Parts: sequence; structure tokens; C-alpha cells
Amino acid sequence: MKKVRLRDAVWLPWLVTPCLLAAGLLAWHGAVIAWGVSPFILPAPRPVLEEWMALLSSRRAWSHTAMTFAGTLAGFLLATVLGVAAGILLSLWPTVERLSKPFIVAFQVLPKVALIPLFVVWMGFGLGPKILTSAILPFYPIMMNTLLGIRSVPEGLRDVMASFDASRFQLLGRLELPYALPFIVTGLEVGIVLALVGTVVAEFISGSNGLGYLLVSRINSYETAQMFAIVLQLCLLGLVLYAGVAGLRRLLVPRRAPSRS
Amino acid sequence: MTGIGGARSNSAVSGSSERPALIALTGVGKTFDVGDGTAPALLPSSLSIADGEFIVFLGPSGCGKSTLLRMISGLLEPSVGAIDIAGSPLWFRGRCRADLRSRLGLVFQDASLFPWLTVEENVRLPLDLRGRMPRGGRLSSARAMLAQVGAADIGTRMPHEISGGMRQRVAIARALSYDPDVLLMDEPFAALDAISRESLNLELQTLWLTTGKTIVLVTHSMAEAVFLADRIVLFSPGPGRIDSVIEVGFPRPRTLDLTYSPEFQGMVRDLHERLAGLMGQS
Repeated sequence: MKKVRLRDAVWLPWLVTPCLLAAGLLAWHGAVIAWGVSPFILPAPRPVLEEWMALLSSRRAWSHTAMTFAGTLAGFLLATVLGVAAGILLSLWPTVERLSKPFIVAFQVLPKVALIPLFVVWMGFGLGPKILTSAILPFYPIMMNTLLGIRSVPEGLRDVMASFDASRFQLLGRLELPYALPFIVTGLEVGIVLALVGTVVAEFISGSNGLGYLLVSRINSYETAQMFAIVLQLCLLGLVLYAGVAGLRRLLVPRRAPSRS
Repeated sequence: MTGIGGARSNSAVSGSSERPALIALTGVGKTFDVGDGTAPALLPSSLSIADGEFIVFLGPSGCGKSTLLRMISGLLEPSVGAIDIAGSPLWFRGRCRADLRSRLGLVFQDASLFPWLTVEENVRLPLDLRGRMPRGGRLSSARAMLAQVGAADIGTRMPHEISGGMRQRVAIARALSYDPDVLLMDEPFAALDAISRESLNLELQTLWLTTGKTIVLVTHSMAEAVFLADRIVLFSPGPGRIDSVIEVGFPRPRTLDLTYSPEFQGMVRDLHERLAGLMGQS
């Protein structure tokens, strides 16, 4: 009989992950009891879960979740369109890339959330600053991954396109973008998480709705257990968004070889 | 050098046969910029290739044979000299003329298929790009090409699902899809195992005999050169140049039995000695 090694077993994570989770919750619970931690500092897991259940059955909480979701998605889509377009433009004109490099780097090292107050001055407390922030954070990784993907096209495949007298447009559409697609999707996977960060931070500062706003308002009223519940809700939202992009990969990059031939 | 048919020095190489030259190279050379100087990759060379000929470029690495093929392919502009296809210059003001390039079909060493396209879509790609044929015609044409290279039943497979030999067949079908006059092949079978290589050599000969295409094939295998070529163009390294052109007189179609004959083996040995001598000089 073939021996299945433990580290290769498919069921292993299904068994171990719930056990680890349970152990963590138990340790949390025990620590709160043993040291008598104030519920303002660290509530026990049970009230947190109860608050989360309450959140999940509250229409108001779902409308906040929907606001955060919508802001993140809008910003992310904006970042995707602009980021891919910018990546393509930089790949077409290497000189432009060279000349704009200092500005790109300066913008990249800038903590972009520092701009949120400025966005509020420009656009008020509405959806504007939220979408703009959640667009600015993922823009750079999407742009750079697009550029990297196009740069990675092997010379041999470029030669093939040249031998067919492909136009610049055909080269882009038939070779460079299809080749860069897995790179771009990787940028999107990084980007969707950053977009959510952007939305939540914008809601901290300027929001009148959304989970970020809700979280700050709970802190201000010392409802720590509710704050933890909102963090769980954000985690759920992040998972859904990330799963959406991962599904996009399966849709766009379906039949490709694990290693390129 | 008595074993080798008509070896001639480079200076005498010109219109070798009665047939008109399809590809005429006049003093074609290439130098690459290296750091602050230039390095010659190929000294000015002249050669005339007749319509329907099977020419093999043979030589060690760094002898300029692939460089010359890339220049004939329109992928690399010559530093000096002129390349004429059917009497018209291939290069014009630094650009390769598209109408002439469409008469050339290229096959690369590593098949260079697009991994996200099926075999059929790969073969159809040049037709799609040139857009001179209705859609349905492109597909049936692609299928016919695949059948011609013995890859009829793998049209819906992905490139990574088929063997290296099959990938090269597909690459040949793709190059043939727009019916070029010339097939330019850069070490097409170098990465294949000996058996696949043999059968592809045989099939390439059959393809050449039935279609009447002109073929220029680059290789560093002496046996492959003798088996396939009407004429072998022998390259010498350091700096790269054409050393000589050797006529191969064996009748067609050539069979695997021929490769075991003393005449064939003798010619391979002569080539071997000659190449070894050339490499010793450099």
C-alpha cells in the first residue's frame, strides 16, 4: 500500500485549522477570566461572537457593510482601469517611464492616507474621499504588475509576432496583454486588499457611514465587544472581495500550463 | 577534402545554379555594439539561394549562422550589404518590408507557441493577424496545415499538453499557414530526442518534396545537414563568416538507410574534420 505522508494529506488542514481556532478561542477566554481583564480592554470571545451575531442580523449594520463594500469596489475598479492603462502606457514609452520614475517613487513612498483630509477639503464628507482613497492605494501595484507582465514577454514570442507583421495594437492585444494577464491578476489580488484598507481609513476620518465609521463610533462609546464584532465583519468582507478576485483568476487564466512552454 | 563534392571558397559563391535566385545576399554583415566598441558577428557574406532549394547553415556556435538567418527573416537589420527577396530589397529605410516578409515562414528553436492558445488557434494566429481570409476559411486552413505536418488530431489541445516533437510540427504548420515561399528554420529540432529528430527530418524532406518550398535550416548537427541539404553553407567562427559551400549530391528521397552508408558517413566525417579545423584556427 502506498504510504500517504502526513504533510501531503488533503484532510490535514480541515482537521487542524478548526482545532487551532478552538484552542485560540479557549486561550483567549481563559486569559480574560484568569487575569480579570476589563471588557473595555479585551472582551471575552463569547460577547464578541454574540455582538457579531447581532451585527449579522441587523439591517443597519448590513447597510454600513454595503457602503464599505460599494466604496471599496468602486475605488478598486477605478484603480484597475487606471492602473492597467498606466502600465500599458509606461510599457509603450520607456522614456516616459524613466522621466516619471522619480514622481512615481515619491508618490509610492508617500503614506497616501495622509491625503484624506485634503480629499475632504476638496470633495466634502461624501463618497468622494472614500472612493479616491480606495483607488489610490491599489493603483501602484496594479500599474507595476501590468508593466512587469508586459516586460516579461519573451523575445522569442515577440519575434513570432514580428514575423507575422503584427501591428503595435495587435502586439498589445494578442501577445502582451494575454501574457501579462496572470501578472495583472496578481496585482489585483494585492490591490483589492489595499482598496479595503483605503475605504476603511477614509471612513475613520471622513465617514458618516460604513464599517470604518461604525468602528470609530463604537470606540468612542467604549463598546469594545461591538468593535471586535466589526473587525470580524471587515474580515468577512475582505474574504469575500479577495475570493472574488481569486475567482477572476480562475475565469481569466483557466487552461494555462503551470509552467510556461 | 576529396570526399566532399564541390567545396568552393566564399569568393566564388554566387548564382550557383541555373535557377533564378529567390534570396540573394550581397555582402551582408552584422556588427553589434559592445560596450564602447563594436564586435563583428558576421563578416560581409554573399550567397544566392535558388527557388526550391534546401539550404542548410552549418557551424559551431558563435559563427554567425543564426545572425544571418535572423537578418534574412527580417528580424535583424544588416549593418552592411543587401538582402533581396525575389529581386526586391527586404530592408528599406531600417524597416522590413511586410509584403516580402509574408513570403517568409519562420520556425524557431523552441517552437514559441502561445501557451494560452490551443494548437489550432496558434496555427490560425498569422491568418487572424493578417486578416486576408474569412474566419471559417482560416479554421479549415489551419486544420489542413496541421494534417499536412501529421498533427491533425491535436487541434484542440494546449501546447503544454503535447510533446516537444508535436510542438515543432505545430510551429511548422503555423509558419506554413499563410503559404510562404520560403521556410526559415533556426535549429528547429535541436531540443528533441534522436528518434523524434529522425522522423521530423524525414517528414521535413517529404514536406519539401511535395510543396516545393525553399528551405533554409540552421543546425550544428553534421548528419542532419548532410541528410537534408542540397547545399551546406559552412560557417566559421571568430569572427563569424561563410567558409565554404558544399553540394550534397545524394538522390531524393533520402532514407534512413542512406545515413548508414559509407558515402554518407564519409561526408559527415569530412565535415567534422573541416569544422574541427575551423575551430582550431579561431
